[in-house]
Amino acid sequence: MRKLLSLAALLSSASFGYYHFVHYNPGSSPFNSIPEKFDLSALNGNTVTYQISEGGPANYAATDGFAAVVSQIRGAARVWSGIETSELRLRFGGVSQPGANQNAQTPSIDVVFEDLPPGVNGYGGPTVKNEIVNASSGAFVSIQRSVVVLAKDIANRPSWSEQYFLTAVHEFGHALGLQHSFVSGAMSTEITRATTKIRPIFPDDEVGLSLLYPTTKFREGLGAVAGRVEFGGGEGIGLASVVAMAPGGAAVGTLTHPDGTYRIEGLAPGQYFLYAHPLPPTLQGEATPGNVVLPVDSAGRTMAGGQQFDTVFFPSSRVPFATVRVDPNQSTDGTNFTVTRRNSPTAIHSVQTYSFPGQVAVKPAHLYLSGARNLAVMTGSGLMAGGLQIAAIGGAVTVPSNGIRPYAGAPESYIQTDFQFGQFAGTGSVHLLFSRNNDLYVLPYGLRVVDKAAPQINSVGRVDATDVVVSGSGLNASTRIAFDGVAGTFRSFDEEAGRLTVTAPVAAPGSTVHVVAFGSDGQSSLFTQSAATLATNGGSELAAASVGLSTATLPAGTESVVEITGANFAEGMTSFGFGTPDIDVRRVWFPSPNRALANIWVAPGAAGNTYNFTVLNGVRLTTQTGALQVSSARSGWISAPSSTFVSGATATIQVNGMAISSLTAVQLTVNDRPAQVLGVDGSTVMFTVPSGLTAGVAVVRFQSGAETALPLAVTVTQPQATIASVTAGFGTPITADRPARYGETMNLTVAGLPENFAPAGTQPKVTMTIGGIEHRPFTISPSGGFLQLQFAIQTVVPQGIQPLVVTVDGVAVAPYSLPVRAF
Amino acid sequence: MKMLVTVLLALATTLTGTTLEKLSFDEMVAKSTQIVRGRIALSNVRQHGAIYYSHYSVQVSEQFKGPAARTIDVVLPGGTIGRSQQTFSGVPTFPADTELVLFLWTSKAGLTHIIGLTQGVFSVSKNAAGQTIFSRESIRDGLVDGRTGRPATDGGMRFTATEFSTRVSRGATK
Repeated sequence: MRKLLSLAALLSSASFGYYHFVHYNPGSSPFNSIPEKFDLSALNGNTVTYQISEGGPANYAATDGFAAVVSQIRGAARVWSGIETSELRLRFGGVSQPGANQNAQTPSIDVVFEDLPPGVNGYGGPTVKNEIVNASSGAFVSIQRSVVVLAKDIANRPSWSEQYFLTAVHEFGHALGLQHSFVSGAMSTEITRATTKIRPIFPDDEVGLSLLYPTTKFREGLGAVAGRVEFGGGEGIGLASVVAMAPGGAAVGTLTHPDGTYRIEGLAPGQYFLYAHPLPPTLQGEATPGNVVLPVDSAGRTMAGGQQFDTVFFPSSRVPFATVRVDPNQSTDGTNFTVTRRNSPTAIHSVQTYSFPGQVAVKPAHLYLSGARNLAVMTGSGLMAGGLQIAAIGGAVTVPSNGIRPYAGAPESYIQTDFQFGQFAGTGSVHLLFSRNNDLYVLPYGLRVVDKAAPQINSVGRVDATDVVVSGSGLNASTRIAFDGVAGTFRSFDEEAGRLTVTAPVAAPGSTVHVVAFGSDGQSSLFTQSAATLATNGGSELAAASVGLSTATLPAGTESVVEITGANFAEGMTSFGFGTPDIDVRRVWFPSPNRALANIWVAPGAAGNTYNFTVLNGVRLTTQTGALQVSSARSGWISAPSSTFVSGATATIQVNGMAISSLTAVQLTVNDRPAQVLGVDGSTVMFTVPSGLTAGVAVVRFQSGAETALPLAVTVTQPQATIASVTAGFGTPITADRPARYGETMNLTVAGLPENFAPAGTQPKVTMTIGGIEHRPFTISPSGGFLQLQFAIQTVVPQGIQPLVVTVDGVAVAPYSLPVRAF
Repeated sequence: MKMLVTVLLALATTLTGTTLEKLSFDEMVAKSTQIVRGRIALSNVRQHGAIYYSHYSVQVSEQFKGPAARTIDVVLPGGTIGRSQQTFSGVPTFPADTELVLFLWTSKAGLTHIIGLTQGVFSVSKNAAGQTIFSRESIRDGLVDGRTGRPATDGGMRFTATEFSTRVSRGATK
């Protein structure tokens, strides 16, 4: 094994880990996989929209409905959209009419509901054009459209259930380009999946998506391992699964290339056990080993793989004892496995673990650290024969002798296993190892150890039109209360009564929303009970049902701002869409709860069509049929290379679809204030953003002669203020050699504030913290764009370099490092 | 305890590829609209809304359940149209002219699917005694041997044609 200090190699390698829908070029090793993925350059803001078919399910559980389904689907998409190390973002694109998007040109995801045959709950996958795109970041096959297919009949799998949500997350993963993985994350088959609604993805899923759509920071500070899996004669094994597993921590896996080589990336620095195992055999309901779509060569021929061999830990053992060290920005190469061929698949595989905190089975088993619940029920292939041994990887959790026996409730198919928790055992996930003779099976995240019971809801009642009180057991200030998948806003927690008060999201009057409590440890009230319900009574906050668009027609091939009116709009709660990727709501601002401004792009191919307008606000779904018509009329429009303008600074816009007659005939305003046009270069207009604009959204309008471009919204910011100086006494500068002292009176000058930030006779609102300790200035003196403060250092401020944080009228001043000493 | 076991078993039968739910033989019999033996061949791939469906033509040689038909149009999701390919994990493909026994289900939209994707597919072969055998790959969790009552793990499903016919008749009349 050798260690390469090769960040450059890490960054340039296309031979990455995980498993995607893979193509290979002809030739032999080294193999570089060519994955199917969305072409980010074809997406605005790296964002793919998903449209949800308006048909919805046809058969619901009692009180369930389409708005709740849409809300849960939005939640599932947000799981993938929130991965920070992936560039790809997902956005709700509205409710689509059947067949409306067949000719849409913009890549997107269709969520549709089908009469699925018995035994099928959903599927998802990409549609690609079979052409390899050679990009600077590596070759790929571009996903044109993806589809997520969910069942029309959800009477037995309601929208609020763990299973419905996790199925949606899984199928979205396929739609984004991920195949099955074998480390119990969201992309594992449901057999071994250990995710829950509150922990819906694991690091393996994050790495899988980040490899397809990496941010520049994805590999920063992380490491990799690489090597080969081969038989004794040197024959490489394709489609072998290799997993890096931190004891009690993350597990990330990959499949080998046809020559047996592999690379696992995205590993946090630390010590890892590494093991190689064959794909589980093809089983009932599966088409291929492990249910993976096999890689294809350039001629479209399926490439074989998946030979059977004995599972082995690196370097060559049946138990994990040697770890491989992963260092930041390094690749630990040469972690090779030489494995023993076997003629039949391993007998032990596909194991599921359960616990019973109530009348419902929870998977994976959640056990109590106290030992109060210490048994797991397990089923899977090969468990029932004698001689089975089960061990927890990591040491602090053990299985006592005679701890494995048939489960009394179903002794023919299930076993019961007792666990003991040692002195150093803690909460978290436990990886399990199953063995018998030469069979070895590893189940990542096989158990979860918690220190308390799952939260339980006894009652949900209204305080007023917006707030509700949730009573129950196991609730605390960090418990999240979700209403049809949308988190309520925490208001207060009454510890004595065990009651949480939260603000519920907007819901339709007369509807029923489903309430679930989520603990920070991954447990939820669904572990012990069905969702609680809350009937909405049409309170005043819900009364304004109608939403309005400021225009009913937009020209094709343009982008412009549209005003949307309604009620209770809020960032993160309110989504708009037109049910087609050809009309893209690119940016939304919420200047008030009753008003939104949205920049809307209309693709050229949308001309002549009429589209629905959908608002998903909280868990309230409103659709206006035929609300927007797309015309083929020619119109000028503007685009902004930077969507943020700094008040008083120069900026540029691009003018499209109209000629600029002359500089003198040009008029440009920002929020109706004239801007000084500095010059025109072709279609580019450079100008000075008016000073003194209020920070927030602003509308840019442009006119050239008699022609007026469609308006566009941008964000306006103030130039950032800075702390120009901090002095003591009569102007002694504070430095590392002359720190600020406890009790000393300090003078602080803030520069770069807007000249009119504190009109005569007014006092700006100033907040100030030093080392996190709030300080109140005893004088505040604004003057022009400057502000002078006097304050004294409190004795509770820790000594050393402390962050000095000031806000003026809610706007943060650039942070400052202040040396502090007691005397 | 009985209730616990019932809940546990119900949960344990859920598996995904795709997201699948494991069905017992009797459940497949009960839920199918047709059970046929025949030769299957891909006829074409057509787009139905957002989904590509591969249409297979089944030349029926024997009918175990459902209305009589000489040929049946059966669909599986995914396929290739022109240069566009739609892929779903877990969907089987069949070599041309493969003889199979299929558990089929026709949706309200009139599309005939295979139950549980690959779950409703049995292969046809002969045993050493020359009897026709219908069999399916192994299943995930334990089976109970009907004669001994002992667990029989990973055994798959395997019937002679006569046994199969009897089981279907019995299941269909339940």
